[in-house]
Amino acid sequence: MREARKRRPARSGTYKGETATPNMARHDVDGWLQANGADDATRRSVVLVVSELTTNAVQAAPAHDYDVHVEFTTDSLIAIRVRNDIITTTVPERADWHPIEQLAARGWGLSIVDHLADSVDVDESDADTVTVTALVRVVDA
Amino acid sequence: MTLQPSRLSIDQAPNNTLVVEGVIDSHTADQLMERLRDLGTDSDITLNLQRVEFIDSSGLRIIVTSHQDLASAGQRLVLDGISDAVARLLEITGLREHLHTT
Repeated sequence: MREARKRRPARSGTYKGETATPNMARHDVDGWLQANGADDATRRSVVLVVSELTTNAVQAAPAHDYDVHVEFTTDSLIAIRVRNDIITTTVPERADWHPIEQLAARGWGLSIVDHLADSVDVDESDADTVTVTALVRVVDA
Repeated sequence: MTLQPSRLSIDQAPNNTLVVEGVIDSHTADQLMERLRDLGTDSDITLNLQRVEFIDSSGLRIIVTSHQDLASAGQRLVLDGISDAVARLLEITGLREHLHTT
């Protein structure tokens, strides 16, 4: 008989738009990953994606709260969803995610997320907020 | 993998070397930029990154900016003792071949 898929609880958190909070989000998500038996390689990828998306959230809306939600959508995929207000900047068009110059100092964040994730979705249907969802594949599923 | 709190320690070592330990993210990156700028651009700078537990694009920004500042002055930023976290980020971005590493 096929083994039933393990049910693993999702995790959601709200953080202040300050440069110190991406570290908190990384720690919270990494604790959740460990509690759910994620392997080291998967943890490294997910934590880096969380860092990039939350750093963007802080830059986009300093001093505004942002939300981080993580869940296993299947046994082999983890969704990382970061939602923030749009105050100073919004998410650039996908064509601009990768720096044009080989030795660019800025603009690597979404390029890194795009590299690590199976897919990245940007939802700007609400005029005041943006939600970025990255799906990262579990290495040792 | 052990995630450390968002802290960064930077020690001065001989031969214009900075030994970096901890986390280089949006909260700590400017500390590293300040220490690199304190060293000026009159000679090569070596950045020992062996004990960097975590780095993201905020840290990458500092490394590339310093590389460019020194290159403009005819000097080099040399990345020495690269940790797994740093190596992985350089690999993801393809920047390793554009920077000076040992």
